[in-house]
Formats: sequence, structure tokens, C-alpha cells
Amino acid sequence: MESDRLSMVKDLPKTRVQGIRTMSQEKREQMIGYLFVLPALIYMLAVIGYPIVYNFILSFQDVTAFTIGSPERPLVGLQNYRAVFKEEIMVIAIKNTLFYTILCICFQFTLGFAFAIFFNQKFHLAKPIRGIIVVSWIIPITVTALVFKYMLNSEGGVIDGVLIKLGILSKPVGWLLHRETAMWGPIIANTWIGVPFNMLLLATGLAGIPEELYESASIDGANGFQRFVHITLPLLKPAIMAVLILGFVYTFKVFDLIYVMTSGGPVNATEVLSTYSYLKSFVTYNFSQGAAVANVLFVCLFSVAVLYLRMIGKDEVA
Amino acid sequence: MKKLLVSLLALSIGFAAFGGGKKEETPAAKPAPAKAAEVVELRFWHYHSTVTMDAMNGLVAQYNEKMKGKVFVKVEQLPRNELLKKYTMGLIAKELPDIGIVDNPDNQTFSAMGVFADVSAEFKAWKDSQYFMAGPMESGYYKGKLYGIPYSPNCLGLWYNIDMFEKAGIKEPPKTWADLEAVSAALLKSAKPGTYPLAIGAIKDESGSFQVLPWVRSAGANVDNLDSPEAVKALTFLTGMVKKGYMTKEIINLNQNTIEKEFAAGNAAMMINGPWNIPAVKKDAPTMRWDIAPIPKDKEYASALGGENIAIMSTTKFKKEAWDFVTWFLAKENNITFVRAASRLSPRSDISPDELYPTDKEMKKFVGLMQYTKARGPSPKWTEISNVFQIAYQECFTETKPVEQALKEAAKKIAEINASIK
Amino acid sequence: MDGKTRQIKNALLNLIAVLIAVLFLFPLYWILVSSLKSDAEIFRKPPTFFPTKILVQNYLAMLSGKLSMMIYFRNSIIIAISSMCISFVLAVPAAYGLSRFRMGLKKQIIIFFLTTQMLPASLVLTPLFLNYSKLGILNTLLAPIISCATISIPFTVVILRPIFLSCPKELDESARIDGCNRFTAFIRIVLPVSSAGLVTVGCFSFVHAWNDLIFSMTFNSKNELRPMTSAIYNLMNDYGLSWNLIMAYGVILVFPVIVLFIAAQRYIIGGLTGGAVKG
Repeated sequence: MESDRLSMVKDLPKTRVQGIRTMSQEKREQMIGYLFVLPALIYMLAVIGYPIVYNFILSFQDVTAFTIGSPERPLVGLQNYRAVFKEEIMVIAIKNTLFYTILCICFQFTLGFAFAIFFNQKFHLAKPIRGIIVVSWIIPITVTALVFKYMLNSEGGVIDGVLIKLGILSKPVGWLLHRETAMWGPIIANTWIGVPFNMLLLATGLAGIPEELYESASIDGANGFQRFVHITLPLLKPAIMAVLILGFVYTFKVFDLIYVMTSGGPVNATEVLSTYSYLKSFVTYNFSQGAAVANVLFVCLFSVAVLYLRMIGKDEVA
Repeated sequence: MKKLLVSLLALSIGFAAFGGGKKEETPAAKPAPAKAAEVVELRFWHYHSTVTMDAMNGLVAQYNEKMKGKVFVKVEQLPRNELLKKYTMGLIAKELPDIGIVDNPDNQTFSAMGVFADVSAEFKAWKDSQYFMAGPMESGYYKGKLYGIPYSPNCLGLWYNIDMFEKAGIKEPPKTWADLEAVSAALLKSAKPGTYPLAIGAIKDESGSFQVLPWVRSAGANVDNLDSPEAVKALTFLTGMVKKGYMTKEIINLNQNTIEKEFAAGNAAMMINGPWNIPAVKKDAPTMRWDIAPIPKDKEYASALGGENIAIMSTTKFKKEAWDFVTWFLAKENNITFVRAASRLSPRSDISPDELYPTDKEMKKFVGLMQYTKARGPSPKWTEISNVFQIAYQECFTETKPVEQALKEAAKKIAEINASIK
Repeated sequence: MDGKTRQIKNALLNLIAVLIAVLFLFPLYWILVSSLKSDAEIFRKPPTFFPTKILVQNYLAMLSGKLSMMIYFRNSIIIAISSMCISFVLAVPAAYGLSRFRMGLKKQIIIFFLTTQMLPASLVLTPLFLNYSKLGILNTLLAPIISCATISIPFTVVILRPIFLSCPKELDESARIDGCNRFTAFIRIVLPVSSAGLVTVGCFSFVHAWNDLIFSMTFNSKNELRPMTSAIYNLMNDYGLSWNLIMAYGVILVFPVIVLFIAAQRYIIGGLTGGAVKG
């Protein structure tokens, strides 16, 4: 019987199972593993490898509107980076990007997780309504950005209107008008967009946790909270980490949403690294400085990715 | 295993870096030098849309009919920002078209980049060149050579809602800044809450600079001396308008399209905008009565130059044929056709306002405003300067910094930019 | 719990779900309602919650036009499906490999996939443009397809890996004992069990490519190759937007994808209620 064989394999102590394999079989396993991965790897290298290298080199040259025509591009060392960091906007952009990203991830993740758990329960409308919520992620970002820009307008915007009617506010906030509050506009919009993404992926992970685990835990006397902390969270950890790191990378390099909503304004309140890089490259035509800013973005994300790997490294055994 | 992977990595990067090794034949239309019977194909890029695009494409079709068998102009339309990006990418990848349009303040930058071809000699030899007005033409020159020719310039004027004026007891549109303040006060009193006397689009992009610059010019200053008392006066005046409630604080997020909607919806009694909006206002507010006046002045009437120039690419193999199209397009009758359809003005002085717009009195008013219009900059680093200007006026309107300080810092940055232009 | 309590609990949950939906989807309602208003009404203060006059012509204006919407629709479908297929074929095995096998470079490979996402799109455009130009695939549908796949491949790999990890290795083992090799075990056993995850990832890949605008715009200038997203630019005059048309555009773009998701939800339901490891 299959189940017999299964339990046989399960019962063998791990070391014995490994000892059965020889060294060359280990190597063969590795090779096969690489073979599974290789096609995707080669594709990504071939297509994106060059742009990454190109931008890296570009940031060390001096390519502007005036020099772009000439075939020679001599290297100028760290000149672009020094120039870019001398401007106060750069530090503002970094701060804005971090503020925006961290807040978005917190809100999206928490709400998405809450929704995933809520809609995982068995009631009639669970699946249909969960399906409808996904729409916020499907709508083109330009349209979402414009709608939120309109709803947050201090003159007749619907959000302030409703809040005033409910008595929570006495006068319009002017969300996108003040330095202190401007960033919240894109944060709210991005959270709206990102919740389904978090919700769906966490729900998929949740569905993979067998019911029996919860049942035996409650038989053992664990309450809901304990079940959540000791069963759900650990089993969901790989999915959570994946959702967080991807969310972080995508949110950190946000461009369309902010560009359409505020263009980086008022003044610099919503200028983030990618809009700043775009400004440098395609508005002021200083391509090398634009590449330098993009590389700073790249380095920030890379560090976070390394952190991510540290955190998943311990428990994901091949 | 690791060695294999590393060498594969290196190979892939090498492959990617050299674009696949061999240069394959590009199927893109790169016509060979015209033999006697071969049709010359000219690629023409533009970013016009809706009615303007129809007008442009219509004219091109006419030209193709006329030149059947000899020349064919192929139109490729892209949105404005994309088109400008593609000029740069095209220069690097050698994928430029033969003819293209450009927004007039960007003309100098692309000329400096080497995207456009020098047509000074051809223009001088053309008999129609004498009719092209100096103001708009200014934007096409770089270092004394001509790289682009304006074909549908426009400018900004003051639009005012006659119904709302009458309700406030105002007989005439304001002429000076003092008038403007008085009129605004009256309008604020009589209009329903949530309405603003004046709307301008002070958003943080080129169209914002377009809107704010005339005020600086009217006071007698320019972007090169933003720290002058005249420029300070202009920005202080505008900031005052916001503080007194004559303009909404939201102007920093509004662009020209949006203020047209606000004006049509009756949320603003006056707006600063250009003639291309006339069809839109007529459609959005068919029963509203409105009219056009010059932008209220301080020392002199001023407006900023808008509109596009047409240029030939430096990499074209068919300069003669391209120039033939350009001159045909700019010829009197064709220019009238295009400009009328696009609700723009003509750069030609041999077309009188009556001839161009015999019945459209609002358009005629705009033609009258062209005399006050000067090009933005012009400068090959205009977009960089404009960016500094945008930050400065936004700082003023949001009261992030006092006007003098914002302008002083901006002036310093602009001086550095100007110094870096060789 | 007894029947009555269960009924009450169900009713309560349903009610909360509806409340959540209403609150959360308010912006969507706003988009729908705006798409049926005239521009003047959109800007009216205070805003109206329901259009005074419903303008279906906004949608008609979008659906007619120089080039029929059908061509744009066809392009979008081709781009979205092709790019989804490419990423499936390449990325799903990669995710599997990274979840099952010991590999010395595993961490580096995962980091590599992540780093390919770390450059902002606008910066990736110029070098890609250069390369595509040399390869001669500018002004073809290949350019956006290839570019969109570069976003869905790493996404698929990072998301599917933990899903495969949660699928017990015993399944693979028993399949191999039954005579499958690694690859067939993967295809015949693991994939069906993870179908929920696969459908989810497939939907995401499709939507990414469906909503792509920047790649098509940059690499293709021919009108016949435009996807539906590019229609947005016909809604702008030279200097800006027509509000109600933009909202209609959003609705039209979203509609086919909603249909897809509704169909896929059924599939996910099937996958979720099945389980292959009953111990």
C-alpha cells in the first residue's frame, strides 16, 4: 500500500536515509537542481543583466544632454555621486522613500493578513467578496492615482467631505497640499492597491495548513491566539517573508503612482528616489546623475534583500 | 559546478552586453538611398492627439496624395513625454525618424544634443521665411543656427466668466494687478462658497512654469534674475492672492487641463489658459458666457510662448525631401488649415487675424496677445532652470519659505546652471 | 456549536464581509460613477454621489476610434498570455528547484532574482531599447512580451518557492519510489497539489502584463501594435486629460481581467478543498 510505503520512509531516521545516498548521488541531485533553475536564470541574465551593468557604468561617466552625442564616454569616478549627495533633495528623497515604503508595507500587510484570515472562514459570501476585493489591484495605477487625487482634494474632495459630515474633521485637511501630510496620499492609495496582493498570497499559504493541526491543538487546550502564534505564524513564515520582501522591493521603487498623484510635490514632499532619478534623467537630461540616484536605490534594496536571505536562511532546508 | 555556473554567468553577461553578437538586419524601415523608381519613406513623429492629431494626419495624407509614387510620409504618434524620451533613446540607439515635432522650450536642448539638423541655409533660401514672426522663431535657434521652426504657437490669456462678473457688478476685465485684486475681492463676496476668483496651474512641471513665468516677466524680470526686486514683487503678489483666498491653495496640484474643468464648472471666475481650450470650454459649459483679455500687467503685458516646432533629424538620409515636406506644411494655406483645426495661432505674419478666424472672436483676441509673447528661456538647459523655478514658486505658494529666500536660493542655482553652459 | 449559533455567526460574518466590501470598494464606485458623468459634473462642488445624467457615450467614445478596440484588445491578450506562458515555463521549475534541492549557490540565485527587480523601470528602458534595436525586435510584440516576462519570472519564483516548500517532500519520494524521475514527479504530483498557488501566480503574471503600458509605449511606435492600456493617451489632448473618459478607460481595462479572476476563483476553490497528504 502506498500509505505503508510512505510511513516506512517516514520512519527511517534521517541519517540512515542520507547514508543510503552516495556522494555522486549528492552531486547528481545538485546538478538536477541547477537544471531546474537554469532556464529562468539565463533568461533574466540575458535580458536584465545588461541594463544593470549599463546603469552601473553610466553612473561613473559624464553623460548629459551635451555629451550624449559623442561616442566617447570617459569615466569620471565618483563625481556624479558626490554631486547628487550634495543636493539636499537627495536626502529628502531617501527619507521619503523609506517612510513611504515602511508605512505602506505595514498597512498593506496587516490589512491583507487580517482579510486573509477573515475570509478564510466558512461563510457564504467569503469567496465572492474576497474575489471582488482583488479589483483594487487590477485597476491601472494611473486611474487609481487620479481617483485618489480627486478624492483627497481639499475643495470638494469626497474623503474630506465624508469625514467632515461624520464630525471627525472640522475643515478639509488639504492632504496633498502640505509637506507633513502629502505623503499620506500615495500611502493610502498604495495600501488600497496592495492589500489584495498580500491577502491572496497569505490566503494561499493559509489554505495549505491542514485543519488537523488546529483541531489537535484545541483538543490540547490551546486557545485561538495560541493557535495563531504557534501554528499559523511558523507555518506561514516562508510565505510571509516572500510577500514582505517582494512588497518592499516593488513599493520602494514606486514611480507611476507618485508621479501621477503629486509629481513629487508639493515642493519636494513626495519626491522619492525613482521620481528623482527620472527627473534627473529625463527632465534635466543629466543621465549619469540619474543613473547614480537609481544605483543608490539599487544598493538600498540589495541590502534589504541580503537581510531577507539571512532571515530565511536558517529554516529552509533543501 | 560552481565553475560552470560562473562561466555561464560571464557568457550571459557578455552575450547581453554585446547584444547577441551579430547585428541582424533590422526590419524597421531604413530605406536605401532612393533609386529612380523607389518611394522615399519619411518617418514623422508627433505627439498631438484628438482634433490636433486629426488635423495633422489629414494634412500628411494630403501631402502623400500629392507626392504619390515619390515620397511617403509615415506618421507615428506617441504621447508627449514618451516622444521626448524617445528622441534621447533614439539618438543613442540610432533609431531616429526623419522629421519630428518638439515643444518649443525643449528645442534648444535637443539641438544641443545633436538630435536636430541645422536648417539655417535652407530657411534663408526659402522665400516664405520673411513672414515668420521673430518671437516664436527665437525658440528655434541655438548658437546662431536654426534647428526648428514654429508652426502653431500659442500663448496664455485671462479667461473670465461674464455671468459671474455681472453678478459681482464688474463691468470690465482687470487690466493691472491692482485691478485684479479689486475684482477678486468683489468676486469673492458675491460668489458662492468654494468658488475662487482666479485659478492658475502652478503644478510642479513645465506647464506650471508656463503659467507663472508671465507674471515674473510682466514685472520686468526673468528667470535669470529671480532675486531681483521685480521678481520678488511678482511672486509676493501671487502668494498674496493665495493668502487672501483669491486663489485656492490647491493650485500647486492643478495643471492647465484641470483648471479648464474648474472654470467650466463655475468653480473659478477667471483662469489663465490658452486658446487650445476653446473647444473644450464650449463643450463643457455650452451656456456659459465668457471672454478673453490680456493677463493683468504690472509694468507691461506679458505672456509665455507655447506651441510646437517642427524639425528635421540630424540622422536623416533624406534632408531635401524632408525639407520639402516642412515647407509644404508651413505654406500659408496648409498652416491656416492646421492652426484652425487645432485652435492655435499662426507664426506667419502674412496671415491676418481676420483671415485666420473671421468669426471666432475669442481666437482673434488670442492672436492679439501674441505681440506680448516671448519664448521661455531660451536655453539649452531650460528644463533644468524650469525645474528650479518650479520648486521656488511652489515654496512660495505653500509658504514653506519666505518669498525672498526661495527666490534668492533659486537665483543662485540658476546662475550655476547658466555658468555651466559653455 | 449548534445550528442556531452557527446561523447567527454566519449571518454576522456575512454582514461584516459586506461592510468591508462597501468601504474598501468605495474608490471603485467613485471610478464607475465618474465614468458616467460629464466632466463638468465631476468637478462640481459638492460632489454628487450619483450622476445627474448618465453618459453612456463616454464608453461609446472609447470603443469607437481610429483603430478598433478589438485590435488593441488582441494585442493586450497576446502580450499578457505569452508573457504569462514564458514565465510559467521558466519560473515554475526554477521555484521547484529552489525548494527541493540542495544547491551551493541557492542563496545567491534567490538574491539574483530579487536584484533584477531593483532598478526602476524608467532606467531599464534605454539599455533594453538599445538591445532590442540591435536584435531587430523593436516595433514587434516580442519586445513588450520579453520585457513583461522579466517582471513575472522573479515574482513567480519568490512566491512559489514557499508554496512548494509547504508541499511535503514525502509526495515526491513516494512518486519516485513508484518509478518517476524527478521531473515527472514534479509535473505529475507536485504541480497538481499546488494548483491553487499556480493559479494565483498565473493571474498575477497575466495582470502585470495586461496593465503594462511603459514597455509597449517605449519599444513600439506603430499604432497596430498598441495594447489597450495605450488607449489612455488618446484620452489626453496635448496637455492633459479628459476625466470621465479616463475613468471609463479604467473600467473597460479592468473588465476582462475581472472575468478571468472570477473564473480562476472557482479553480482556486477546487484546489483548496483538495489535499493530497492525508496522513
